[in-house]
Amino acid sequence: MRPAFLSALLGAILSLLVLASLHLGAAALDSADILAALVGQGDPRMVTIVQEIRLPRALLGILVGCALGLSGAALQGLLRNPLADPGIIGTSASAGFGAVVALYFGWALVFPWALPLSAMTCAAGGTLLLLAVAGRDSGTLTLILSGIAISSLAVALTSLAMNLSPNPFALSEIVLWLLGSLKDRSLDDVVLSAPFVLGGGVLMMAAGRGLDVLTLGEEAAASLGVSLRRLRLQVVIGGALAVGAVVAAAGSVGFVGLVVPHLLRPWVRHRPSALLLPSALGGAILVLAADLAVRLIPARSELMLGVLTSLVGAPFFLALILKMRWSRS
Amino acid sequence: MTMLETQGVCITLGGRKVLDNVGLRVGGGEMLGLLGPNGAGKTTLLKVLAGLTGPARVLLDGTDAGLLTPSQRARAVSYLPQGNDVHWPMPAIDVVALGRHPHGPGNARDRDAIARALAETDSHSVAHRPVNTLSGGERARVLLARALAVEAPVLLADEPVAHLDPGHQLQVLALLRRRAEAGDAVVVVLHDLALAARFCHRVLVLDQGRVVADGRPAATLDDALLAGVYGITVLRGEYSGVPYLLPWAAGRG
Amino acid sequence: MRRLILVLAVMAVAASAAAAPRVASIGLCGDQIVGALLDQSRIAGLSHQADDPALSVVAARARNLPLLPASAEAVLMAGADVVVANRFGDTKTVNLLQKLGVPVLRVDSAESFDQARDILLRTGDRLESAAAARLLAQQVENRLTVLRRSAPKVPPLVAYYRPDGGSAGTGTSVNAALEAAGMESLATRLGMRGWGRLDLETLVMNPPQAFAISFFGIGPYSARRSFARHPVARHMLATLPVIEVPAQLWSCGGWPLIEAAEFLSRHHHRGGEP
Repeated sequence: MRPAFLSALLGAILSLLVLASLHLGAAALDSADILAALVGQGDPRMVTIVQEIRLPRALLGILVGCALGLSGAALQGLLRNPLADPGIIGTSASAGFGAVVALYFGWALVFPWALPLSAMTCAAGGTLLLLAVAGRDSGTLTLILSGIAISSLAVALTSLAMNLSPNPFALSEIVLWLLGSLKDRSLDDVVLSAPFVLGGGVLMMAAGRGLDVLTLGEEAAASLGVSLRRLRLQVVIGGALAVGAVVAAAGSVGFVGLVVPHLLRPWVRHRPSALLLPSALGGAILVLAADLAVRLIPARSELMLGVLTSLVGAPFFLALILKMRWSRS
Repeated sequence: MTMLETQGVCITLGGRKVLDNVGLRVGGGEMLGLLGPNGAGKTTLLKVLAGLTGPARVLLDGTDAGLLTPSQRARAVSYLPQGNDVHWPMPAIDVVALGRHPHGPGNARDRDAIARALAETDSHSVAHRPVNTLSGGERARVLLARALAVEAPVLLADEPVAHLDPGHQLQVLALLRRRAEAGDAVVVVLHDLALAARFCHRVLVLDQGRVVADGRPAATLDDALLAGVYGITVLRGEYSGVPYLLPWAAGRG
Repeated sequence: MRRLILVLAVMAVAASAAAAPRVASIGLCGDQIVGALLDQSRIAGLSHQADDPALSVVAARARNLPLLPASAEAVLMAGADVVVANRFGDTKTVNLLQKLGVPVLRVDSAESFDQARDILLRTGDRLESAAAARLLAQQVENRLTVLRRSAPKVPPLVAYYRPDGGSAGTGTSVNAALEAAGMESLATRLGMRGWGRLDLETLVMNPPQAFAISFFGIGPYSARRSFARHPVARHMLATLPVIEVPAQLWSCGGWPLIEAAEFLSRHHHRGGEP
């Protein structure tokens, strides 16, 4: 399948999911209501619900999915390892730490951009730390162990920040927040994260050809005129921008960046550059589908989005490790 | 004619002198074998020539290669690293196409270059198979095709025949020799002295980071040198007027 | 047809809004105020925990009321003019509701009877139900006076425990209820301020005369039952009088604290429960 066709197909599925997402909620609205509400006609309450509650939720879902899917594909290309994922290598947890610090020490109240900025800074820090420890060797074991260490450190720092925070309920709130959710996000959240997801996305997309060449290894890539330093910075900073921004808006939603590129890779003949755009679209599809599911699964209080993606993603991750071990022996 | 040259290279890695005042000069039309025991500095010297390790001044046709843009340099010098790593199971033809990266985004000349490289390395039959399904030898030839697809006037190959059966070893070295005779400068790291003696125009022998010999194989690879550098004795002979040698025993006996 | 019903519903909401605001609560702290003060017609909905008798004092009422998930859309559709939420949590939902022009009252969990009264009166005011709030506050005050009169001369030393080993010192709702019942909290005597852990060793060194425990019966609500499971704690709980206070009386500090205090007092006079 040609990459352009694959992307068009994924785009079509994504559009359907956006429509479905606009249809789903506590209020029963039919398609005519929704269409009218989208253009500002009809019952003002419906207009509010569609324009201010459901649309931002769907848009943020797209941003979150694109950021995670694309970062996963780019990081996997950079580390040449299919197990790389912003969640597994600690980028998400680092971003979560940054967001928590900004939230619970009140910076976000004074200056709304402090939230994504702090999340992105910490995400970049975490990823650079990982590159310093495991970047060159790129062995799976080193990568995962370093990722675990960085994640644990970030989570520990997060809990520490919570304990020091003046809010006594912060700890339980943060546990929920770190599980990720798109519930009741407003256009403000979309506006706050979109520029960074876009900027990060452009940086990562521009790294595509370099990632292709990196398939041959670092030395061969350098001999073909690829600047490894630039490539690393491009992916790390691009990933940190995108992941940091969406973690700040929606908490950490795990495994999207792992599952999506892996499923799509065979369809683009394993070429890292051809995988980037489809992974972004596929990520958006997965997140929107999961967000539909958390609204459909009956529960007294809504399920957390990150819980659902992890329920799907973690077994997938284990299966992938088994498969890799199996194919090696 | 292309000329690649470097002089007085000293490289220290982790407190160990890997290269100590090494100089090398290779011209178009010449196939130079880099020989020496394990750890002699062959791979490091090749990386110096490819611009991957420094500090060192490498002259390309008399001008400092460090002044070229990375793409210009990549178009002038093709480097085939040791090993068989391809990190994603891409189809072989896509791997070969990566060699066209320094030439910018794809065009028709790329397709010809890729086809030529596949043909030269006898890889046409595996062109559409994922590299991870290829045998070690097939994969090594695909990677060589990748290096050839750059169509650079200088080709640096680090142990290109390490994974190949004798038939393909001979094929690959004959191919490199043909490239040299067509005007390219070829530098190849080899462990097989017999093959080096048979195919290289010239050999440069490194030992503990120093150049201990440089010249035509027949004259250079004498008993004293091989005993001194490798600690081996060789059998020598001649087949239809061409001298050959065969490593025979470790030790000076 | 559906459209017609919706229009009628909107008109009905508009009409009642002019009279007095319809209120939705999305947290336990709000439930116990809204559920105690307002008429059925003025309650747009209570939180999804409101009908759980183990956590909510208004569980019986909540069975006849809509229960709302803490989501902006559900609250809007329920036709709420004002929303009452806990002080902490549901941040995104509260922000979005405020952005959409729905006023949200954040209600603290009170740590004293005075604070509980203030919250009750202030919230009653905001919900245009000041009279009912004053009445309830007065009732609490009267019951408090009765309780203080019947207090034992020497306050018995009582250790409060949650199953995770948490206790309560000065400045906490539990301490206030214990004091009102004429008891002294062990944690307070040992100088603890606020909520904190009263570790087992300290407990063994300073044995109380009785235990007041809460949340023990609600297994699934607490993953951390390290204290409840420890053999030393189990032994002490088996040998000393134990008063198990229903959790809903102080799951959020508020006017039901008086019921917690009365419960403590009543069971102490009976000599506690083994």
